[in-house]
Amino acid sequence: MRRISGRKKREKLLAFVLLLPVLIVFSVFMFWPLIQTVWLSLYDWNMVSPEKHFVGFANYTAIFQDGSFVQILKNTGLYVLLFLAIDFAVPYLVSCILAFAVKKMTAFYKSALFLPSLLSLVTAALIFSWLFNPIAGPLSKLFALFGQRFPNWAQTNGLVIVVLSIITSWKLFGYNLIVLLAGVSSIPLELIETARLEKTPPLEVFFRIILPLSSSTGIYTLIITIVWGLQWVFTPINILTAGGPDKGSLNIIYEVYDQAFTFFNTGKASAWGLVTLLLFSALLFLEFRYVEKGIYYEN
Amino acid sequence: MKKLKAIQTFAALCLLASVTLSGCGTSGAASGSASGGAQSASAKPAEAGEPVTIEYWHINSKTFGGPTIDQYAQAFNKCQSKYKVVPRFIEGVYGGVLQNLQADTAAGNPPAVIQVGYSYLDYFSKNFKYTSPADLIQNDSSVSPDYLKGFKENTLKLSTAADGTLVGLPYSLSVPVMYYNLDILKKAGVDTEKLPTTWDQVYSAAKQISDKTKSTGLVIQCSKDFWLGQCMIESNGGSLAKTADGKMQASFASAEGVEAMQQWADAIKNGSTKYILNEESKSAFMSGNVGILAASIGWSSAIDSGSSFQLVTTKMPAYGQKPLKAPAGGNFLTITAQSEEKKKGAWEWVKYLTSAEGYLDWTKGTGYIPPRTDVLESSEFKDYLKKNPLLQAAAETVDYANPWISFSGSAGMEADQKLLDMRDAVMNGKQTAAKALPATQNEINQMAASKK
Amino acid sequence: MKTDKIGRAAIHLLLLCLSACMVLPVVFTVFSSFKSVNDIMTNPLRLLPERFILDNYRTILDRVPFGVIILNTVAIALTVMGFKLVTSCLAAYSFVFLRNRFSDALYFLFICTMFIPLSVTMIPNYITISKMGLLDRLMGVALPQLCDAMGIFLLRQHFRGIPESLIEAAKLEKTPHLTILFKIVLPVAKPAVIATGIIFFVNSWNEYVWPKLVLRTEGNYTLPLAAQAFIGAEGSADLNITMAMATATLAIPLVLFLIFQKFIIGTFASSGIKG
Repeated sequence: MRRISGRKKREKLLAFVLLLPVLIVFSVFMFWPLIQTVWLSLYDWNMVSPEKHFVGFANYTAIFQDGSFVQILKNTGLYVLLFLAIDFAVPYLVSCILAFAVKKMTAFYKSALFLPSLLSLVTAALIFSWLFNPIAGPLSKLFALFGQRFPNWAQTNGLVIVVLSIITSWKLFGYNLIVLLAGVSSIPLELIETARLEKTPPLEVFFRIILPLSSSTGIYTLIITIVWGLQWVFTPINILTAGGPDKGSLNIIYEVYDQAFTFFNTGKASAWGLVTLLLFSALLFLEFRYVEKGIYYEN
Repeated sequence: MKKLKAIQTFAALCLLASVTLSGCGTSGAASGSASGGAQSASAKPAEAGEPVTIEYWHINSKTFGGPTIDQYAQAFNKCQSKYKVVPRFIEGVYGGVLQNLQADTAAGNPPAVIQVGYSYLDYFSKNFKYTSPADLIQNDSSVSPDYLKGFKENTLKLSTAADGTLVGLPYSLSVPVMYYNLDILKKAGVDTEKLPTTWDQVYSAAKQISDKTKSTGLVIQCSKDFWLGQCMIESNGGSLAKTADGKMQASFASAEGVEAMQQWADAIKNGSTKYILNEESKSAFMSGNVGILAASIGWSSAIDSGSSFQLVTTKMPAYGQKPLKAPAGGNFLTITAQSEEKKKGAWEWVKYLTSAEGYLDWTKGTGYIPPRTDVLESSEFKDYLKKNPLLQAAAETVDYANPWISFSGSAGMEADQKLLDMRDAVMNGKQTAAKALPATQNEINQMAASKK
Repeated sequence: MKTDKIGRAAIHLLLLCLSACMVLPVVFTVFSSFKSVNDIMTNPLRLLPERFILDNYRTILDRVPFGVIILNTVAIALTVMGFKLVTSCLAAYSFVFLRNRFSDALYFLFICTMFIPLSVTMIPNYITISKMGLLDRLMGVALPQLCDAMGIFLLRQHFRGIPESLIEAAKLEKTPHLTILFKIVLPVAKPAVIATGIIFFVNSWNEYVWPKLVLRTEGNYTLPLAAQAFIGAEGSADLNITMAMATATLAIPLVLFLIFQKFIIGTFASSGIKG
């Protein structure tokens, strides 16, 4: 009996020791800044002047009373939908195709589809800025050949978000693809073969077999797409539209940056940062509910 | 076995990387430019004999003045051993400079000399510590007390705060000019001998171009600032802001301001003018798709080398008989060093840069216009203009250079952003200028009032 | 059988189109890096250079100390990737196989960090790094990035998919945990580990915002910083130079990817966990 409890104690210690490095790094570089942010959100400050004015919840009320709050949320929603469509749904299908439906040339496809992920977003934004130039760029000339005019996307609400999402998605696609591939590849081949022999329609195979069995990777990719998508689209927004036209491409993450580094409103930026965190925690809730409880595991 | 080897090589690589990391970063290795020394985050006093580091922040990229600055630094460091100038390129232009300045000031480690955009004059002087060149001139026996008289008076205003303190010395100076693609103009039948001198003429030339050719008539530079907008409103007799009792009030929604903006919006509506931002307007013009471009003279060398059509520049057009008013773009040099030693070194560096030869050379390296009267009137400069006719228009405009206005107060940046949002809304036809300008003006003034 | 062939052909066509969309901008970039500005601007639809020139590369080689900069970027990327992988593996193991009362709470805490926007942590971390004296050092860039909740998340999911039976057997034989980790868990989770490692490496390679804040002198720059130095205010981005820098920055990850491609793809091959 003693030997077992001794082992249990060592296990508990080991469990903690294995977590220690992460705990230390996160405490110093993640949690401490977060606490500072919470504290700062109660002040009106511009990060340089020695005076800070305590304003309590004024920053928060200012956010909700701001006329553009709804628009920022709407924009953020549109970004998320586009990211999910291009960087979640499509790679999922493609990874299934590559894993099960296609035998030849898979190496080529995988490399080709991952290629854009190797480029930096700054470069991508500048390149696409030229490609999509409505007056002089290659695409506008292509459209002209067919007698069409290329829209001035940077000045069109809705379209501006679509283009910015495309640029970001172009780079995000490959990442999600290899992660989903890793997930989908772990599904036993026999299951797919059996379904094929039984002449099950491919969509049913997807929804009944593949999706549930790879759901852990799936949910993870879903969350990453939303979180990374919104963070990454920051770069094209910064370089190409700065949130315009008239707040048409602003999203919640960019607003945090704008408040902090364009307007030097440290307090308000912190408040926005926390609001963002709260909204994201809805995602967290999703993760815990579905991943921890309802997902199929081999054990 | 293969797997084990792979893991071993991998682990070895990572170890090597970490070891490299812990040693790296001190000496800046084989880069030719001045390096090292900038890592003293806590300003430790230089040991006897070691040169004092003077960190110089600039916004000149490697294709626009950056290498020139490196050359200056090398020459300066060679000719004396007391100070070592370390130039640092800051990304994000003038906003970026202030952002980084904030970060470094918060960490207790500000640079010695920085370039501050003219539009940030107010915000900078109210929120950061600096040493006025006026004080340094007084205490420097090697410099004549009339040093400042060598500068054009209107350029000194660009770096003088509202209360009269000289915050820095004007350095890079650019003005807006009109670029013309003569090939397109000829194709459209526009008279290239008598280029437009008023805005009405510009707009009708643009209409002619878009009617008769496949090219766009006119594009006006729209960066993340309201520079050209200010030029147009002020030239029409309006003003961006007025100062009364030391308080700045937005005033652009006057009849003149509305008229100038609406005329621009109408030109966009009739298809002769296109509203595109930043780089896209430059590429569009360079690629020969736009007839007329209103933009900074700073773009001239890039446009010149990248275009293959006949290119000329003229002064910005006027509104009828009203006088031309052009906001000055560019930056001034200011000294943000904190220790006495660094202040002295910073001043030496600033003197070096702002000497007559310094300005002339700087113009040659960038296309900026020198703010010093002696340089402008020198024969070398005039010769240079003859060889670079594109700059002629800019040199003539310097006489009309006005301060680039940026709203002051803690909500100043947000006010500037509102201007941009307003510009978007009007130019995209979402709102008429008559509605949008007064609305934004009220918002800005209310914001300023509520922030004390 | 016939419909099968047509179906296959259709799928291939779709995949080819998708690949083209992905690859064309990159190809365009590489080709444009050999063109003059004029060429790019006046022949927008033309892929091949009118006149093949090396001037752009000469310019950037002239002004950028590539050797040092590449070394810097590699050093940071390898270190960050290495530490993130190791700490994530250890943490994931702890959360899955050494689960106790506190595991879930700690896990939740770690996952929260994924949702903290960079703008929130940037300045406080900058001040911390500065106080540690790590400003302008490669270590200063790497230190806040030694752990990543994403890795913990992903590896934990994959570890949980490992059959309990394998672990139980090892536990019965009183195998030390670290051996279980290396001999059983990691081999099974290899695709996930490799995919995660690739992501960490490439992300670090292309990182811009944080290194820009920390690194000061050019000799310590990473590639994205060096690339950005060509983009400035009034002179602004010359497209040809941007393309050349982009190609140069892309070259190494691309070569690495091509080399390790076989290794990577081999492990992604459908390998079900057989009973």
